Amino acid sequence: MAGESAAQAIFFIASVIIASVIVVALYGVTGSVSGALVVRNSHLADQIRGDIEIINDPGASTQPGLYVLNTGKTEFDNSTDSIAVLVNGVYQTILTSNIENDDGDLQWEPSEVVNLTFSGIDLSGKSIKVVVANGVLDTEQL
Amino acid sequence: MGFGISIATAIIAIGLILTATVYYERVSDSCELLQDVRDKQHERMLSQLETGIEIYNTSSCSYEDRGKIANSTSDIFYIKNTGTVSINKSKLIVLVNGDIVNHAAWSGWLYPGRKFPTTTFTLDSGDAVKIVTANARSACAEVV
Repeated sequence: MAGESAAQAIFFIASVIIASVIVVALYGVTGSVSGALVVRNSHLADQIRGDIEIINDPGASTQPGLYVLNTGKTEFDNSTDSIAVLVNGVYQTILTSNIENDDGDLQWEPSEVVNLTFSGIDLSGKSIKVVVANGVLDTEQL
Repeated sequence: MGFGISIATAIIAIGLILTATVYYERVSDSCELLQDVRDKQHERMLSQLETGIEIYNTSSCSYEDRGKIANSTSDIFYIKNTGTVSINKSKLIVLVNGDIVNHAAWSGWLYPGRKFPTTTFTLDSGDAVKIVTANARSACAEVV
């Protein structure tokens, strides 16, 4: 009789321990998955809010620089190391990055244009791809 | 043993309910944010579809295409709002021969269907003019 009670007690404690381990594991996994989902959604929201457009005139005989218009709802970093430019698929080092119609706060805000210049490259007739920091991009054939 | 299994089942059930309660709001808020951003993206796309602009000075017009401006001493040409939303003239971007040029004198709103003449720029035959709105709708023309 005493042996049966001890066995039941052991089964009871084992059941509770196993259940607790399962709950803790589920809690952790669910937390990890939901955390990743929240981060992913936040990144996606940033990408959807942002948009850029290359507005150079392909009909012009010369291209003094690359003009990129912020057509999104969020501001971007216009520093030369946070924008990537590919000309005919080849990465180019940006010489200068100036906001043409800045309202004075030096932030690349919606409806403002950044003028990117490069050393020793003619953009005419080339395929251009501009990518800003959060992966928002635009391509244009000049 | 049956009692132990019942307690274990209860612990798991309570744990699942707690887990769902704790994370539901977090994930739900995130999904709402995403939905809100997508709605705003649709508004932005709609605004682009509603925006239209033309450049012309004689019978030639252009809309998202290359038109012609007759070369004249007056250098006058018109910018017309062909869309259904008003355009802030100060936000227009003008490129002449590929270079952005200043038009500080332009201000106010260009209402749908209205046009305004511009003599701000000195144009010669062969020059390329492009007008871009703040949401990247554009019209191009060549001076001939």
